[in-house]
Order: sequence, then structure tokens, then C-alpha cells
Amino acid sequence: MTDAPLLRARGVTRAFDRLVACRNVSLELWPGEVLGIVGESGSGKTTLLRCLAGELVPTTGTVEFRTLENGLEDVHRMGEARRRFLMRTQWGVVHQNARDGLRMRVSAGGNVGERLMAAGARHYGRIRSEALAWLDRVELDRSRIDELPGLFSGGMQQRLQIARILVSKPRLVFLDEPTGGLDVSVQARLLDLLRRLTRDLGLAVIIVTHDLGVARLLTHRLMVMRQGRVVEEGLTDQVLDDPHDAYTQLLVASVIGA
Amino acid sequence: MEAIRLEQVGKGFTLHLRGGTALQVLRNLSLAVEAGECVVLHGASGAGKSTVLRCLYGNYRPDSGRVFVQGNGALIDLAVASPREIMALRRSTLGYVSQFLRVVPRVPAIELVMEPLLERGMALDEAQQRSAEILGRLDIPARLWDLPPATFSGGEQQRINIARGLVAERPILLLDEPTASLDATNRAAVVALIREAKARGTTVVGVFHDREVREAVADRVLDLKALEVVA
Repeated sequence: MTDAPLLRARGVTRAFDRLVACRNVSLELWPGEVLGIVGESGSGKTTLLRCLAGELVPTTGTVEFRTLENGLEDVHRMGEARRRFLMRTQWGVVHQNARDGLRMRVSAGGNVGERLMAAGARHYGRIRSEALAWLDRVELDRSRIDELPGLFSGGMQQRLQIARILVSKPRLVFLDEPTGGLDVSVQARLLDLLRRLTRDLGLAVIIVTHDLGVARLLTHRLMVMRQGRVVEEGLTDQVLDDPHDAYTQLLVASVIGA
Repeated sequence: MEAIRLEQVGKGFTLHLRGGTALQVLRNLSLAVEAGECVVLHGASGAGKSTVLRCLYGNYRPDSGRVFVQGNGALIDLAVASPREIMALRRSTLGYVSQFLRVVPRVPAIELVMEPLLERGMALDEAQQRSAEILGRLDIPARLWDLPPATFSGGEQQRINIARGLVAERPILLLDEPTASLDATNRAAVVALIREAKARGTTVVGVFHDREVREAVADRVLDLKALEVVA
């Protein structure tokens, strides 16, 4: 474990016209940590995630990522080319809607191989065998490597997105409602997969979810957001078992079996 | 050497959904536990026994006072420790067996037991072997090991929970009625495991309603009410 955080956000605020979607959020994330961001729809979770992932520029505040070469670098003040390179190699976003994260006109294998090529891989045979190995790891049938993702079910598309991101060995993964819209049996499978991957690869993960059950099982730390603000944060079990804020208490009390 | 020291710990709950009703559970509770000692908490239902254990695990944050735990060569105050410090302490030092098994669905029992070992970096085959051993001692039939415990009986789930809590042999064990739903044979197996842990020098703080179990493991029984100083 190192003493410098992998990601550091300070005072991140993002407004759309007059609507402030997230307000003054600060956080630090270390390698191997899984941070959950919970709250109802409209609480600003996804906006915050997109600011942290470099997809959306904060109105004020900074987001820094610790790169291997230069230490902490400001994600939004580096050049576009540098940011794109880091987004392809150092971190990745698994989108809520698989169609935002996959290339639907490219085969499953191509989707996985693409990020490897973007990171500099050129040998076709090696790219294909890496892609096959990752289909195995996310429990997708390797005989379907040449199919288009549109032929896959929702759960399979989510797993393909995860394979596509993880193949380039990122140090940080952002997940936006990764189990939303999936059957519970598929959810459980995805949760198990994510837990293994974070433990075995030492990944840092930020996961946005409105499902406190998912948060309990998957995350180490939790931030509770309401109307763009962080109302409570701490160890996941502490926040869920001993919530102090009125809104957190309401969230916890409203869930069945979390 | 003291492994645990609580100093004037206060813990209450404010129920915002119930018009701000305040429940005071612990008042000025002070308590010290020597390394290697087994202290059993006693008291009526609602006296705060589980609350003390949860404060010691960093699951509840006290409103006042200090909760010192000896871990990684330092005395750490859980009342003010950061989430990262508490996480590190749990990996290395604190084992906790709650009354409920809360796990990812679909994960086989043996993998649940192996998890704390793998988190500490143990090799897969060694973790597997250690887990099989403790499951065997707790009389979980081998045919169940590769099944997820969702369909297991209450007693079987409880034993999976115990195996998960004890397998990593952490220096401090917090046990919240681990024998509550077990028959006599399995209770005896759990008592044997706790006594072996003590023989290794493990510090134990526990709640056991069963008198036999209490008498078999306790060095000291503490009545919670007697420890509180009403200010």
C-alpha cells in the first residue's frame, strides 16, 4: 500500500446553467479501494462520476490522478491527447447503458481488442488470445467472440464492457449502475465477478448505484449524496448500520434486506 | 499488555424518522482487556453488549470517549480512525462474528471462508486447505462446500459465519452470540476452536447466552450495567 492516493478530488462543483448538479465534493481514493456513491436519481451521482472520470469538466474544483510517470496530474488541465491516452490505459468507465460503452458495429472480440490496440498492441494473434482469455474471465462463451454485441443479452453486454475495460489493465474503474436493469441472478453473478477482480487485481473502483444491497456487498467506503451534496460518508458498514444523517436513515430504512 | 481499552465511551442513536427520538445505549463505559484474555459481556437484552462489540470493530462510531485497539504495533483509537485505518486493522487484527451471514449470493461456502485469507495475500491452495480444515471441524459436510449457503439451515449458515471469522487467526476476536443456533455437538466444536485461539494468545471479547459456553471460555464475565458511570 502506498501513501499517496490514486485519485484526489477537491471541491468539485458542476453546474448546468443554473442547476448545480454536484456541489463541493472532495474525496481521495487509494489502490485496491472500492468507493460507492449512493443516492436517488437526480442526486448528482453520475455527474460527479463523469467529472472524476475526465468526461465532464467541473465548473470549479480539481480532479487529480496519480500517473506512474508524473505523480498527481490534473485531469482537466492536461492536454486532450494526454487525457485520452490515460482514459484508454489507466482508467475506464463501465456505462449504465452498455450501448454507451461498446461499439455496436464491432464484434465482441473486436470490442475487447480495440483497447489493447489503443494501448499499443499490434500482434493480431496475441490480441485475439488476450480477448478470448478475458471473455473467459467474465464468463462469456468464447465461441461468440465474432458476434456483434447487439445479439447479447443485457447482462452479457455489461460483462463485455467490463472485459473491454479491464483488458488494458487499468488502475481505476468507474462503474455507473452496473447492475441496473439486470435480472437478480445475473446481478449476483456480476457482483461476484467484480469482487474477485478488485481483490485479485488490486483495482481501485468507484461505483455509482442506487442499490444499497449492491453497495453493502461490493464497496469498502460509501458517500451518500442528496441534491448534489455529500450528506454522509464513511466505512460502508458504518454508514449503513449506524447512519447519522436523516436522509441516510431514510434510505436505509426504505430498503428491503440491505 | 492491554489489547483493548475503552475510555468513557458514550453511544446513542438519534432516530430522525421517529421525530428525533434519542436512544442512549452506552454511558461513560470504561473497560480494559489484557492481550490473551477472554472477556464475556453480560447484561440484559438492550444493555448494549452488541453495541460494545460493534464499537470495537469500527462498525459503530461512539459519540464520546475512546476505543483503543492494539494493532499493527500501535494503539489505534477507533473513535477517530480513518476508514482506511479501520480497514487495515480489520484485515490484520480484528475478527468479528456477527449473528447474521451477509454475503454475495451465488458464492460457494468455501470461497466465503477463504476470502479473509486471500485478502491477506495467502496463496489459493493454502487458503483452500485451511478453509476445508475449519469447515470439517465445524461439521459442514464436504458436499455442501461448493454450494452457496443461501439454502443452508440457520445452524449451517452460522457455522459458515464462524469459519469465516476464525479462519484467519487474527489476534483479536469479537464474537456476538456465535453459538446461538447450534446444537450441543457443534457448540462444543466452537468452544474448542475458541480455546485453541486463546491458547495461541488471541484476545477474545464475546457475548454468549449459553451458560456452558460462557463458563468454558471466559476468564472474566463483565456485567455491562456495573461498568457504566452515570454522570
